[in-house]
Amino acid sequence: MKAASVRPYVVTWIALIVLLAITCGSSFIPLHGFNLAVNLAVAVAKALLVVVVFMRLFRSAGMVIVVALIAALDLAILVCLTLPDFLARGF
Amino acid sequence: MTPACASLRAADHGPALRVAEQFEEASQQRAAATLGMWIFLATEVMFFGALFFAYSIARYQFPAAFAAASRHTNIVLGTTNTAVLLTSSLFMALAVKCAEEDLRRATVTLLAITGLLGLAFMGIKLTEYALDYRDHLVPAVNFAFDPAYARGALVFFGLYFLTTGLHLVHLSVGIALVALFAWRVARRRPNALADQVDIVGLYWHFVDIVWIFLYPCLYLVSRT
Repeated sequence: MKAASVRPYVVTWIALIVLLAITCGSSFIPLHGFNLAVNLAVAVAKALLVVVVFMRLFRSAGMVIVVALIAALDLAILVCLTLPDFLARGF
Repeated sequence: MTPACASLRAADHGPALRVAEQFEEASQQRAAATLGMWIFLATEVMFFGALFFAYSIARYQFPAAFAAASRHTNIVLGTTNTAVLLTSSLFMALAVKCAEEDLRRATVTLLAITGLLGLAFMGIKLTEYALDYRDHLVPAVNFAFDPAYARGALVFFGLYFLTTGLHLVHLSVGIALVALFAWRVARRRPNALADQVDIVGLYWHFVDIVWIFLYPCLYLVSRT
């Protein structure tokens, strides 16, 4: 196996570990409510790295990309339809 | 030999590849298997998505208790485990790459490392459960918490054991699949699916992604 074909995976792994250090380290610094935002942003970034590089989403068949997008859309529908119900109960 | 295997016929693409009769050729079978795994993972997104949603609602309802409860999780073991799982995904991605280049020995080695890292994750997680038990954090078994936050903390640790437990079940299935495929690649079993390490890879990476979201939700709620 050529070194060039391994490099993107190793670079991605380094990025994932750096992001882990950022999310863990930042949680010990008081950011006045932004800790949650940082943690969520880092988690989404890590997930995208895994999906795009390790799972090769955009090098997959068109149908696979459609399935992945539908999964994200279904999750959005789940949240958007259920959340107002909970919020309307006023806790 | 199972009926499914008996119905396999040799394809025209070399003696090592066999294609099930509903497929024209190996590439079509591969595409179908990959798509099937992605569809399964889409259903898993719904499965874990509902749990994350339940977590969000509960955290919104008990913000102070979730902060207090999260401080009782073991951040050293949790962070170590995250690094272990991210590293296992690297080795899995490399195993898939080697499998596609037909480097069988390297594939088996990389799959073995991936599986061992998965086992290491399980070992660390079970150690953590033992510490949680010692600290009286297991709901319905020996739960004891600051009365001011007891109700919300009970919900937090209920979700903690439910989500990490389900993640662990998924990971053990992943380890079993990795072992099975490593064995089949090593034995050169004449079955096109045995060569398709990438579908196990997809599952493994998905289980990694679930943990990527569980980690901040459980360990990093409030550390300042």
